[in-house]
Amino acid sequence: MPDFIIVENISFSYPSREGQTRAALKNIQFNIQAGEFATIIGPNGSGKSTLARLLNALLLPDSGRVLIDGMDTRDYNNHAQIHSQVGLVFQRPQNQIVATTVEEDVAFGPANLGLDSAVIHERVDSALRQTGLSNYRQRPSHLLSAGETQRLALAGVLAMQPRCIIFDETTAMLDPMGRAMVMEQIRTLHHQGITVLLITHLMEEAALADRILLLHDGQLVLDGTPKNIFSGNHAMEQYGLGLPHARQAALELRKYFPQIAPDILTSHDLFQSLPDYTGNLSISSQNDPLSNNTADDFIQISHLSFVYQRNTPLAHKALDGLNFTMKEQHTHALIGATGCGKSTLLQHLNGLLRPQSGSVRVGSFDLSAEDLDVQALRRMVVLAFQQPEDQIFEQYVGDEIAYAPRHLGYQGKIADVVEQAMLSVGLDFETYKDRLTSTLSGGEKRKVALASILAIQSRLVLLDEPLAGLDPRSVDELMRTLDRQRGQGKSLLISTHQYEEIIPILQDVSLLYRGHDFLQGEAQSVFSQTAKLEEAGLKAPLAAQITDALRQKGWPLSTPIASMERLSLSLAALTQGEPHE
Amino acid sequence: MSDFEYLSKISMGQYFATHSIIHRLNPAFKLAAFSLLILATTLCKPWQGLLVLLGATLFMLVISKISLKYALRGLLTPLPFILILAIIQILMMSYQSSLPDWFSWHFFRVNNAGLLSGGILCLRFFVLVLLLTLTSATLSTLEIVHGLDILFKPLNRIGIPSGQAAMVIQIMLRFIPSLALNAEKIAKSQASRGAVWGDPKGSLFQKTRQMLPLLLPLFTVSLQQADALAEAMLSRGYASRNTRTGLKEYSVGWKEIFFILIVLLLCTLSLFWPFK
Repeated sequence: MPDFIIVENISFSYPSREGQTRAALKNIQFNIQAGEFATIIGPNGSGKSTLARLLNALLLPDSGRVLIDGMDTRDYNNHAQIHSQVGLVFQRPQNQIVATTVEEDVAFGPANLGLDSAVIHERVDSALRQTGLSNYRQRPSHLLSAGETQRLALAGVLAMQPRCIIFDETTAMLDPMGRAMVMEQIRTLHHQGITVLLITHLMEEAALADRILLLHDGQLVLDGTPKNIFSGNHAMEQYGLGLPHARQAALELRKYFPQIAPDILTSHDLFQSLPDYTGNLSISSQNDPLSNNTADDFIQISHLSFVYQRNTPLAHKALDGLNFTMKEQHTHALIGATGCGKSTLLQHLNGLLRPQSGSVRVGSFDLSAEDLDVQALRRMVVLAFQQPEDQIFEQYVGDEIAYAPRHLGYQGKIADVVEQAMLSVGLDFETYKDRLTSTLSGGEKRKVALASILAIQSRLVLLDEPLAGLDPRSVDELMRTLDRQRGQGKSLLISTHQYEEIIPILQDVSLLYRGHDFLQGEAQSVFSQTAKLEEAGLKAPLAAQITDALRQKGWPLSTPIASMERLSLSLAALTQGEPHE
Repeated sequence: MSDFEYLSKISMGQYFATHSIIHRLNPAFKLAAFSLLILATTLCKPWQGLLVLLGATLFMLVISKISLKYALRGLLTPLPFILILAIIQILMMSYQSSLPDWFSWHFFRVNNAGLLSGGILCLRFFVLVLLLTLTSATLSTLEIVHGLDILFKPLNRIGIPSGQAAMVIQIMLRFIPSLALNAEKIAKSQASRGAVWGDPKGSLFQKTRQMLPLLLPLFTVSLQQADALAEAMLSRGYASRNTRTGLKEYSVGWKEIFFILIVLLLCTLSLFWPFK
């Protein structure tokens, strides 16, 4: 196979404000063969996105050179060719849409190539067919869901008929279904012979590629097959990255089943290698000590319905007869496919939306009451939206964090709450309070935004997709922060697609489906209902899937299991008699 | 509380894809014809001319297969304002005229001159509202962009790039809903942190200061979005010096010529009504 991309010793730096430069990439060198499927991983700020832009000639290297199919990106005359051969799909789908309707947007690229309208028509048709958007041709582009918008962005690139497509954290903002669909598309493209480069934070996705490039601090530190890269687990920790869930699970299960190969990377391979049950079929009747908390319900919602843009042609029903309860001092997850009403529900809880029908009670507040004291409610219930760092507006970090306590009438010394809030997200008060918000890094901004919400000494914290787009290290840090909040007796209600990560701190889960409650209860028992989860367009956590696979092989696992910890305990009980290792 | 639903507050009229003969016309001709009609309605003096324009508009609504009931309902919202304006007009014009009064009380007089000009005012507004309904129902935003692209073409000769101008308008239209959505998200998020908009207390400076939590993030987010969009456009091969083609090609046939000639005739007729 000929090399399609040749990267020869490139370096690149961004000019920074003080006239200095910040090196983003240092002496990178690698080749990608035509038809290869490679992933690029690395923590935030390691230079992944910069590299993608250099491969597409959006940026030019300071030194060294990039050759695409033999064409040097430094030669402007090659740019039209390079743009059409190397397509780039970005992280936030809505920022890639140019036109107001779906078909016009797909036609944007081919029109730039100056093709005839008949040819453009053909290409638009085929790109829409490949992405399953054929029925959406005339749809206004801003009325698509996130997953559909991401497919539209891909269609726009496909219409250019590129030989290589680079996906820059394309799945970060999607629900499990949308993510699986994009991965399926990627596999299909790869089989069609298209070179695929996938930038991702999710090790599960990285494990599916032929090859992994690991960037750290602007340098290419590892380059190899997934098997090689993930075999040394310490190396991954050193770079702030984890292992794929299936590999973590395999390592854990090897304690009980030493026959499982040590280099398993995908859940599919893991299920295959699980052994049949050979012990006697005495069903262990250890009844599950389900936490039977008698505490009163902190949140009570019954028959809640809500229609956006009511009485207009664009009316859209978001909630439809939803029932929901949550206990105080519990950590509760809200899960469900995109558009199932999670965000709408959260916005009802601090009075941003008022019930159109049905009732909502939070603590002693009745949300339908005419004389609701909204500010008092918002002192008790805070809501952190997705990407809270986008909402920073003060010049100094201290002022930003003090904004909410000031405006919600906090009694007492504001500096104290600010300090406490900064501490809880791991920011040092003295170092950061007088920093300019504009000079913070992305990760620091996220922490400041979180602190500015935690500074409200609330009883309930609502979080909308707090994990979206975070690298593994930031996920760990956030989990520690949330765990501390839990320790202080706060109730947490977290809406998320990445529930696998938060299972360790969860007590209860509510699964929403098309605006109503579909499944509710204790986390282990909800997550272990794999069939129901699939019905609602979700995937069960890996531990629950493994448990299902084991049950099919005769293992008498009776209790609901959704975490590796629990699975490990149950297996230990079953395999006691036969010590391994 | 629908305080935050900014998106529904920016409706720009409703497009009806009925695929009628009017819908299928070249958008450049439609755009030119509707602009001419709106201009003629605004400038037309004789009431007979307005009647001609009213008839033409109603006829086009019918052949565009747009429900007349829907079009007439559009008159309801501005009706009170139109009536108030008409009453003022009647009183003003009657006062200045020396024709015999139908009614008089102190300064208030009503006579034929006033009634005529009040009626003309009503009629003018009715025709304008109907014309705007017709325009938005038969011209999608996309067609407006394509239409402008074609109509601006002659400007290329004097150095104004028509393609880029049309692209700017297209992106502007595309950004309106996303600006509204961003504003909604930011407003909700800041409200969660205790922000209250439109507090009537305080000086102008303080009021402006209150809006900062909304405006600054909106600017930052919009700039980021613009940056990302520029990147996406470049990576999809957009360059200002390109000669771009398009998905749709519009032809000029006898229908277009006939349509624009009829409209020109009607406009001339209504502006210079010859039958006194």
